[in-house]
Formats: sequence, C-alpha cells, structure tokens
Amino acid sequence: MEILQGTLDLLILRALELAPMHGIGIADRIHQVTHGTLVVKPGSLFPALRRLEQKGWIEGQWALSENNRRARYYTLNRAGRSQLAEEKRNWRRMTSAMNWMLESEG
Amino acid sequence: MFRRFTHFFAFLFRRRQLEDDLDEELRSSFEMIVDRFVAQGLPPAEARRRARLEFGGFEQVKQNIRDGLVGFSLETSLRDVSYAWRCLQRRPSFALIALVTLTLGIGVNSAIFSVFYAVLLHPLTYRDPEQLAMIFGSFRAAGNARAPVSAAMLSEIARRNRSLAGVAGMWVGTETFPGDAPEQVRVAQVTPNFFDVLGVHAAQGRTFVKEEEAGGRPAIILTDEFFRRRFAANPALIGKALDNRLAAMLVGVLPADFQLHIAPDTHVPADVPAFIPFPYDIYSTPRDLYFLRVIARLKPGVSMVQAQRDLDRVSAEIRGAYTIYDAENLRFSLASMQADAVRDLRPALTALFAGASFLLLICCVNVTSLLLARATDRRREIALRLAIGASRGRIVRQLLAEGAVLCFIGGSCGMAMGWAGFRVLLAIRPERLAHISDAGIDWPMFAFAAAVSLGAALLFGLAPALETFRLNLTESLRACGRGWIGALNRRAGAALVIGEITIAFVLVTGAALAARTLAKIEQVNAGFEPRHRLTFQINFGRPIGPDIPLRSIRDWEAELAALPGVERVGATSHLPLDDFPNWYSPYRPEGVAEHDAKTLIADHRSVTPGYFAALGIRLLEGRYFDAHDRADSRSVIIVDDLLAGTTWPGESAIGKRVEVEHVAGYGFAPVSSTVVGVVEHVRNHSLTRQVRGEIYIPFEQSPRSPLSYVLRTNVEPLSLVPAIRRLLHRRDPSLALAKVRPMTDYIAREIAPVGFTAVLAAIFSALALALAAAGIYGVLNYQVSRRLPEIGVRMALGAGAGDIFRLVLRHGLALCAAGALLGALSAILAARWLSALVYGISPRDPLSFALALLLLPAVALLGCWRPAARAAAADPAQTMRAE
Repeated sequence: MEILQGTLDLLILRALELAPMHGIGIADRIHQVTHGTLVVKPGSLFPALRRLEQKGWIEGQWALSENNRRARYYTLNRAGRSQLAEEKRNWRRMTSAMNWMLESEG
Repeated sequence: MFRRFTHFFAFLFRRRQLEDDLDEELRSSFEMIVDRFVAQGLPPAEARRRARLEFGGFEQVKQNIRDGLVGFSLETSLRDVSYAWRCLQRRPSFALIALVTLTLGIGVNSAIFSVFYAVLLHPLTYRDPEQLAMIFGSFRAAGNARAPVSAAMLSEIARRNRSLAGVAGMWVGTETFPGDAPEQVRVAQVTPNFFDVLGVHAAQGRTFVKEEEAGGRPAIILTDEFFRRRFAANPALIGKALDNRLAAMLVGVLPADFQLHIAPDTHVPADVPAFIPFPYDIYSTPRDLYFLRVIARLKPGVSMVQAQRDLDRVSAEIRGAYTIYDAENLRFSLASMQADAVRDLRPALTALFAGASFLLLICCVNVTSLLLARATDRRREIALRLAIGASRGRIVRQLLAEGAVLCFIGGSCGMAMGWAGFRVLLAIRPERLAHISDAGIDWPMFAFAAAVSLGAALLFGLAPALETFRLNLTESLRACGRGWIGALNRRAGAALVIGEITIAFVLVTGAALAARTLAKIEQVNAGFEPRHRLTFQINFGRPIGPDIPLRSIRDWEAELAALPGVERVGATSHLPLDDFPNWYSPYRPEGVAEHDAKTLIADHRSVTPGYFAALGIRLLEGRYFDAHDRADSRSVIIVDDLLAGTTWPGESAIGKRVEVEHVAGYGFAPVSSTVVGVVEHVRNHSLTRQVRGEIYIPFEQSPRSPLSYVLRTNVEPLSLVPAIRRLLHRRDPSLALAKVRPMTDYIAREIAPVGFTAVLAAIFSALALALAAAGIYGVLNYQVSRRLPEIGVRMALGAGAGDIFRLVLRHGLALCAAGALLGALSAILAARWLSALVYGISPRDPLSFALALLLLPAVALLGCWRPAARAAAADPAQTMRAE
C-alpha cells in the first residue's frame, strides 16, 4: 500500500520514539509493525531522513550495526519529540474527521 | 528557529562532507539489504541483484534528497544561474543584442519618464496643492480668456464666492537694492493673504499680516536664495528695516524649496526673489485697470467643476452690479494651478513620452523575436533533457534563470543609462524646465519606470518561453523543430518586423517634423535684428517727469551713445520676448464709436527716438520719432503694419488720428494722437505667433520706468558692460543694471524648447532605426538558418547564389514596404494631434514623409544584407547533409 502523502514523517518519528535506529531498521520496523501493509522504499526514506534532520527533529550519528556494518543511527531529540506529539494529535483529529465523513449517513 | 538556521548553514558549507556521508549511508544500507537476502539463503550475486531492484538507483535517491532540501535547492538555483550565464556566453551576439536592447529601452524610458514626472506630475511644493487654482478674467477689452483682473473684481470674488477658502492677487514689478553693488530685481507685490492662500510658511520669521496692506507698515519677504546671496543669510536682519527704497522691514525668509509655479504667459516669472504687500491701496485703482493675477484655494471637498460653477454665478452677479463689467461681458475661468503652470510644456513632453514608449515597444519586439528564436533553437535540447528525466519544474527554473540573468544585467545597465540620460537632459534642458533641478531625480518614480519597462520587455519575452512548454515531447524530438517554425515562427517574425518598421517610420517622421519646425522657427522674421545688440534694464525708482527730469534721461542716452563700440542707442518700456508684464491697452481710431472700440486692443510701447534704429525695426512708411517729439509737442504715434492693415485696409495710415492710452499716475488716460509712421510688426510674445497690433508712443509723451535699453554695437555686446556699469555708478550710485543680455539670448530662450524636442526626437528616431535594423537582422538571420535545408534544395535544383540572395532580400524588403505603408498611415492619423507642435509646415509635411520613406528601406537593406549574403553563401551539399 502506498504511504499517504505527509504521513511518512510521522511514521519515522514514531519508529524512532523507542530507540535510535538506522535507515533500513526504520523501514523494517514500519513494515513489521504495520503487518506488512506499509512499505517504505529507500527512494523516499532517505530524503525524508535528511529533511527531518535538517528541520532539527532527529540527529544522525555513525555507529556499528548488529552485524558489524558502519551505519548511520538516528535519534529523536527534544524538538523531535514535541513535533511527534503534535503530529500525533493532528493525525488523530484527521482520522476521526475522516471517520465521521465516511460513516455519516448517505 | 536558530537551530534550523545552523542546519541550513551546515548544509551549505559542509556540503562535501554531507555528500560523502550520504554516499556511505546509502552504500551501507544497500549492503544491509544484501546481507538480508544472503541470510535468506540466496547466492551473493542473486542477493545483490534483488537488493538493487529493491533499492533503486543511488543517483535517483540522491537527486530526490537534493531537491527536497533548502540548502541544496538554493545551490541548484545558483547552479541554474551559472548555467544560464554560460548559455548566454555561448551565444554572445544574442546576449549582446538582448542586453543593448533592454538597456536602451529601460534607459530612455526611465530618463524621459523622470522628466515627464518632474514637470507634469510631481505635486507642487505647497500645502494640499490640488486645491490651488488660478482665476483668469475673460472680457472684451482683454482680447483673450487668460487676462488679469481689476482690484474691484478681486474684492467682488472674495466677497461673493461660496467655494473658495481664500483668494489672493499679485503683480510683479522691479525694485532696486542699493549699496556698493546696487541690484535691480523683480519684486512681487501681493495681497497680504498671498502666502496663506498658497499654504507656505516662512522658514524664518513670518509671512504678511493684514496691517501691512497698502503701505500701512512696509514689509518684505525674501527667498532663501536671495537672502543668502545678498544678505549672507544674516538672521539678525530679520525684523529690521532693509536698506532699500521702500525702507521695508524684513519680516520673513521663505523655505529653500519655495518656487512660484505660474504659467509664463501671465508674466509672473518663476524666479521672483522678493515679495512685498501692495504699497498702495489697490482697491482705489480704476475699475478697468486689469493687472492682478489671482490665485485661489478651494474649500476642502470642493471640486474644480463646482468652483467654476460658483464663479459663473459670481460673474453673473458682478455683471448685474456694474454696468462697465456688463458691457465687457465679464466671465471668470478657473484652472488647476498645477496643470496651468505647465500647460505650454504638456504637448511637447507628452509627445516625447509617447516617443520613448514607442521606442520601448520596439525594444520589446526585439526581445520577443530574440527569445522566440532562442526558444526554437533550444526546443531540441529541452526535449532531450525532458526525455532523459529532467523534471519540467527544473527546466522552467532554468529558462527563468536565463531571463533573470538578462534582466538583472539589462536592468542595471538600463538604470545606469537612465540616470546618465536624466543628467544629460538636465544639462541641455531649456530654461523653461529650470525648476526640475530642484526636484532632481525622483528615485521611487525612476525605479517604477525602470521596473515597468523591464516588466514590459519580460512579458513579451516570456510568451515564447512558455510556448516551448506546450510542445509534445516525442513530436518535437522527431520533427527537430522543423514543422513548428514553418507556421508560427515565420508569421510571428514577419509581424514583428512589420511592427518595428511601422513604429520607426512614425518616429522618423516625427523627428523630421521637429527638425523642420526648428529650422522654420530659426528663420522667422521677428521684426527686429537680434545680432550685435546689448540690452539691459534700469528701474529709475522715482516717477520720470515729475521727479526725474526728462533731460537727464536724454543725457544718459547720449552718454551711452558716446561709448566706443556703440553705434545706436534706444530704449523701450517693454522689450520684445521679455517676461516683463506686458502693456496692452484699448485704442480708438477716429470715427469708431467708444463702445465698439472696446474690443480694439494693441500692445503699447513707450520708446525713445533711437529705439527703432537701435533694434533694427524697419520703417515701412512715414518717419521714426525724433528729438522734436517732446512732452509739449503734439501727440504722435507709430503703428505696426498689422494694426495699420486691419484698421485702415487699403489706405495709408499716415495722418490718421487715434485715441491711445498714456500712462498717468497709477492709471492711464486716453490721448488723441496722430500716426506719423508705420513699422514692421515685432513678435513681442512668441516667435511663432503674431499676437496683436502694436502702437509706439514717444517716451517723453508717456514716460515709464523701468526702461529697457538697446545698444547696437560693433564689438562683442557683453564686452561693453563694465564701462556701462562705471558710467551708471558715476551718474547715480543707487541705480542698477538688470537683465544684462545680448538680444540673441531672448531669441535663444524662445528656440530652446523647440530645439530640445527636436534633439530628443532625433535621438529617438536614430535609436529606433538602429533597433529596427537589429530586429530585422535578428529575425531574418534566424529564418535563414532554419531555412538552410530548403535553400540547399533550391540550390541543388539549380538556383544560383544571386537568386537566393534576392529571395531573402525580397522577403525582407516586402516586410519593410508593408511596415512603411502602415507607418505612413499611422503618421497621417497622428498628424492632427501633432499640429500644436509644428510651425511653418503641415503636420503631413511631404518632405518629412519623404525622408522616412528614404531612410527606412536603407535601414531594412542594412538589416537584410548579412542574412541574405549568408543564405547565398550556403553550401548545398553541407546543408542537406546536416539535415
């Protein structure tokens, strides 16, 4: 399933909420947690990571991965956390609005 | 916020490192995916292939990242600009023509618009200037609708109107400031409320008060410039009596930017340095003494139309109250002060502005044709880049970048040229436009003009660029842009060339008309000989006759005549072409009823016997005045041929009797006189118009001061001035020479505005011709390069080089002929509008049209030659192979 425009940022921030992760880890986590519904391709994942980093919500650092590869790990910082909270709120408002619309009578 | 900034700069400055980071991150991520496939048990080669499929191209991912980030997109813009710069460099002739065109268009327009704005549109420097108006009288004795009014009319207007907040009167005379260097200057006599009505406050001291009226308490106000020059801006003088003849107290100094803005035909000059309240009770002057110029301030919210209607009611009331004004059929007319002050300049400046706009139009056409050619050239390149994956946004950005580079350079050069052009215009401007220098260049307006010009050029330029985008990708790749130019471009090119020639034709005829008008005016017989004549004015201060004996005036003239280098000397109350208030009065030939004579008006001049010979005014019949025409001898007059011809058609004027007005105190008295001579008409008011007949009265029978002297010299006129100054100082140290000028200056000042227009029109048409030639060259050259294959075929089929040359030339000249035809039609249609600007020739002057008809084909030929030669030199084998 295609990822909705504008929701990728929220997905990435949410994935990083628990622990720092590298790019492929983030993609895998989104894939797992959504039971394979959502697939993030590198072509959109890495631009999004750079964009979030430039906005100052996540920070990238080089470290060794679980199977000894040098990988860039991203950490959610304070600004990122408040942004995540904000986006969660927005998303809930959005989904309930969508639901009302879809479930309203004819 | 700060954080975002640091990130932004980090991206800008650490780009290299970031790129490396990115590379490594992508590579390691790719390896992780490979690892995962390997862990699922795939062989390494297959794992890598699957990973590549999943990952996509590295470069594509990287480009996505670059496009999404601020720092990178800024960098992309910079790269666009440098790419655009390189593109322009690759075709320097295109870039050069485009830049020169933009520079000329913007430069000429912003310079002319600045003058146009400064003269016609810049608000006057008074409080609420839109409420200020001039009031003119129109009555039978005046002979025109812009006459001064009497004091009685002024007080009646002030009393009866309902729409004016204030109304003031003025009259400009002269006064002499004595001292070591006595100086005679113009002094305006005004009603005490004059500055209140204008809305001008004194910069130091105050303006006039009611008690200073009618010599109640002599007071004087000076301009800042005069106060500085003559009194070293000494503030201690304010409140003290100035050492002039009136012993008036200096009550105030005007602001440095103060300026009178009153039309020159009212004889109120712009450079009046001093103001006094009327030193006598103007309201006791005769009701038919018309001398006051009237300014009025409308009540807030009252329009000019409403005020005019109110004045119509006032004049009807006045006609009912005074039989004399009823007989005169008195009317008043109101004109906005701002518009009225420059009404004489409006036609010429509007024509120049139109000329500059036409020039801009040619520039726009050139830019359009250049960009059209360019866009067509680049169609293939653009199609190719679209095909290999460039986004449309990216290509639009690049086209815009190229436009922006052109505009930035062209705009800067244009602004620079506009500024320089404005300075040049200031340097060659006629005296009539002198006050522009005070306003100087109005930068916001200047920038506005430049921006409008640039915008116009761009708008024309953008259309072809956008056109590029409507193409179908595959089609244009296949057709290599061939089919497209076939229809659209050839027709558009032809239209552009025809348009340019049309405009150039109109401009060239306009310039030829202006030049011919100038030549005609220079040849005008003004009725006197201006060369080798020195003129100056002396205000004797006290009344001549009672206070100053006539003998001393005679002696003074004899002393002047005795100076080495002086051949003849004479004096007059009013020099021709001077801005001194004119003296015109009614006259009554014997046998004409008094009532009918009211409409007979002539310029009156009080002259000494030597005046005619000194100024070279030709005697047609009878005699000049001589030493026997004294105060106590019979009253005689000399009239001009215009008056003689209309009053006594077919008869000799000599011996006829006429009642003319002599000066008597502050008024005039009719005196019956005999015509003893007829002289040639002198153009007193304008070189181009015979305004009205003239009557000369012997000075001693109607003495007036000031007197203007004319010395016919056989040396350089101005070289006599020191000797004359010494002579005058020995005679009376309190007297001063004023307006010391050779007579040729008066002629030059009349011609200057016409010369100004002619020079600018010539520059415009020269530029228009050059631009039109460049435009034709551009369009034809381009068409030839697109038609080379066709030309190759023609040559292969047996056409000679001469045939091809003629083919292209014929095409160009046909366009030129069409343009010239349209141009001639437009010029004929515009003629009616130009009639106010030409003199001595018809606005459809055949010679001017012939000049344009001669010049334009020559220019067209110039533009066609190179492209035609290029086509003729084409090698058929090569052009067809290129296909």
